[in-house]
Amino acid sequence: MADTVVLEMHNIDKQFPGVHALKNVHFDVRKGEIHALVGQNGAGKSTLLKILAGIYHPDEGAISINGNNYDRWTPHQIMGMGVSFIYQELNLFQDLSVAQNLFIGREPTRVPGVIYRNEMRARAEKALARLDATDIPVDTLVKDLSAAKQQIVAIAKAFDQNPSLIVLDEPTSRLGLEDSEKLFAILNKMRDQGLSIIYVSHRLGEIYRISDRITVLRDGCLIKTDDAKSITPRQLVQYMVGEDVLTKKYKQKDKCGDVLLKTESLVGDGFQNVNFDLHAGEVLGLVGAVGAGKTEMVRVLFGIDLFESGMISVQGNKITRNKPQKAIANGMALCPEDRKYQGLVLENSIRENITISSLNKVKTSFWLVDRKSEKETVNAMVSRLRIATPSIDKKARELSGGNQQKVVLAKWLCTDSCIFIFDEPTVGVDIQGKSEIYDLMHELANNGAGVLFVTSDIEEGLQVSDRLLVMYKGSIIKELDPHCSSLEEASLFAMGGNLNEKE
Amino acid sequence: MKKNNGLLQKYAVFAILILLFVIFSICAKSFLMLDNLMNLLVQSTILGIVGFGLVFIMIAGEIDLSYAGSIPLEGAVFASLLANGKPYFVALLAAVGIGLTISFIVSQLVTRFKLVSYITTIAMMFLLQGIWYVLTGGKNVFLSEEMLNREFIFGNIGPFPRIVLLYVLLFVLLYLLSEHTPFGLRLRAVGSDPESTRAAGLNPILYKTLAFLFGGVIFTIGAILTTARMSGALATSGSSLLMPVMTVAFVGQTFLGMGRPNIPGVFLASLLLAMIDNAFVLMQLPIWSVPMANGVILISAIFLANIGKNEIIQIKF
Repeated sequence: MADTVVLEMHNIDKQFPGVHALKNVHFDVRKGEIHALVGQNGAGKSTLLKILAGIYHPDEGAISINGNNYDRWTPHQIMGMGVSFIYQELNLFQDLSVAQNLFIGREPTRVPGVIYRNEMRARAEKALARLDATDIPVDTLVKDLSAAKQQIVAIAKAFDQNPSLIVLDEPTSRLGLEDSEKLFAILNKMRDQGLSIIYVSHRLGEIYRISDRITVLRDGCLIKTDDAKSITPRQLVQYMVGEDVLTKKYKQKDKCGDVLLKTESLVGDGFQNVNFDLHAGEVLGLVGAVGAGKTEMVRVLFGIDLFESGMISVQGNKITRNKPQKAIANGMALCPEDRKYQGLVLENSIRENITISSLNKVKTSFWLVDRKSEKETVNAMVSRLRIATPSIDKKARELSGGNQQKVVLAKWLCTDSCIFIFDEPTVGVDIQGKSEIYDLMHELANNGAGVLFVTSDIEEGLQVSDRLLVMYKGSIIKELDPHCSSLEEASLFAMGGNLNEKE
Repeated sequence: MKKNNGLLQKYAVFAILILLFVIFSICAKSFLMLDNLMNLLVQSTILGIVGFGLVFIMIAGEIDLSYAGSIPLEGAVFASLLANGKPYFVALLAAVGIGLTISFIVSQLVTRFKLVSYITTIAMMFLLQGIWYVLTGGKNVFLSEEMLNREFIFGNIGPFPRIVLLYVLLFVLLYLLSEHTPFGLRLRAVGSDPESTRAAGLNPILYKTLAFLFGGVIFTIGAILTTARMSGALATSGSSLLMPVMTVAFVGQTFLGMGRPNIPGVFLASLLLAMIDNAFVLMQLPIWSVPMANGVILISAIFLANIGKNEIIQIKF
């Protein structure tokens, strides 16, 4: 594609109280390119994009779109110029239908100002068909759709406005392998037709897969903009973090301890015939595609859902009817996939979130909470896990993803847990945060706990686990030694390959 | 079985209405007489209209309880102006003007100053009650037949009193507006997620303000009709409406399988309450039986609306 510049943001400077978010940043996007914007949390990516979107105003700097310069602009104007945004929070209306979400603000109407519902439905179906998503009924309420389908609706909405520039913020965080591939195919097709795409992601694999150029921000400064093929992954991480962070290999454990958790022929809603044991002192990885049954099984292990048949035994105790209270009493801890709504009380402070499962340890004899003891416990946790916060009274929802995950873990460290289950702990967490979480998991294992690490990111599963189980369509089909297995081999198993019968 | 449940939930309220209609026709003398049925409808109109106003604001994600203060106040102003010989349209304009002013103030407090609407509008209600006292000296304002042409509102076109026709007209218009226009859809969007509305290029402050103003005008219509009905402005007209209007607005959410504030729900809930009230009076049942019956029947309606559903229809607030 010709090197015509579609968007140029120059000399962008932005300060917030106490933080210099962007320092004289320059960023440009060409026609017909996929341009990745990378950087850690706090590097300034979202600030830059929010400025582009017209939600923030820069202290200095201007933009030019298709050659026209602008000093000030509003969200409405930016959309009118053909720029579409797909945010990580999706910004869909949960209580409205798919069709209504797609056309809010530009509803098709018939003469007396009445919405032309049939037309809206037909156009909605066409918009979804463009993404090959014909299995989503357009009258369904968005809240009744799975996270992946919601993501697809958000993407369809942006595409339907025929943008010339589209901004995608972590679009595959809710998509499985198949849907991600579909998305990449569509992005490539649109790019070839002249669409410009800004792609924000923490997944380096994806970035190298689809981007033409990469821009790295760090601490509000532009570090590098270059063609993707001119930057090696190691250099990229170096630019992002500022130092040479070697991909850590975790020491292979010596023979592990007792069996802490064991399942036999476990059958439940979404999985069948699951057999495995978790030993003290090991990090057991469980990988599989989105929908393979991992979270369903985790919920059963923790007692949130009931299982249909089979056996679970925790620290030698056989469990028939499981409930979370029982699981916790037996020493289990769960950091759930949906850390915001299932792992934390967002409106509560860090202090309240950390002590919530162990309040009996910080109470006085009069059934009141002993504030001094509580504060000591919480501060100890905060420093041990290096939770970045100026105060333990800050609300949980104000923390970054990585820090929120640490608060969830801190909650469990205050209980007497020895079996830790982490379900997708590094989604939406930056490189440094991910590294810290991996370190924490191994620290727990080294102290004698058993860690079950569930993830759909096969690369991190291989990097971090001592043993790796692969789940496919509800069954554990293979156990791999991560130190001897390759990414290709593991991915093949995760996609069901190497089975004797083709399904 | 699943299909039946869907229908049952959606139309449970109709089933109850019909059932009660039949029971009352049998048990209450003169229930079925045309005069009585018309009276029943008239009883439900004011409740329904004020309910429409409240629901409009609820659709946009806010609530406005100040009607319990603004209705007596607007009624008093309307009645006083008429009593002093001013022409109709002056009195109307004054009432509407007061309504719009109150609603505008409330809307700005809620949208720009980010005050919680629940508390703010209750406070406004008290304030308006106080102003009512100052204006009227604590006395009700009565209107004689020459001052107020009651016939105009309560006279009939065909078998129907004009007020009922106005009610039905308002119902149809507001139904179309809330369910079938871009404006209605955008109000629902703002009520669902104000942040996403901004991301969609719409201005949430604008839509919430419009919702309050619209609701305020509808409340004013209710105020004028109440004054006409009572032939004057009464102190109790506000407080006697406070709970019933909230009832129909909230309970109406569970009707027709909606699970959200909606206009038809209010219409049906008002009808239900008016029917019970009317029949019980005809049956000369003791006065305490009416609220009891209201409670039992409303709970049954909500219950039926939720049978077989995995998720209870949540009331939006």
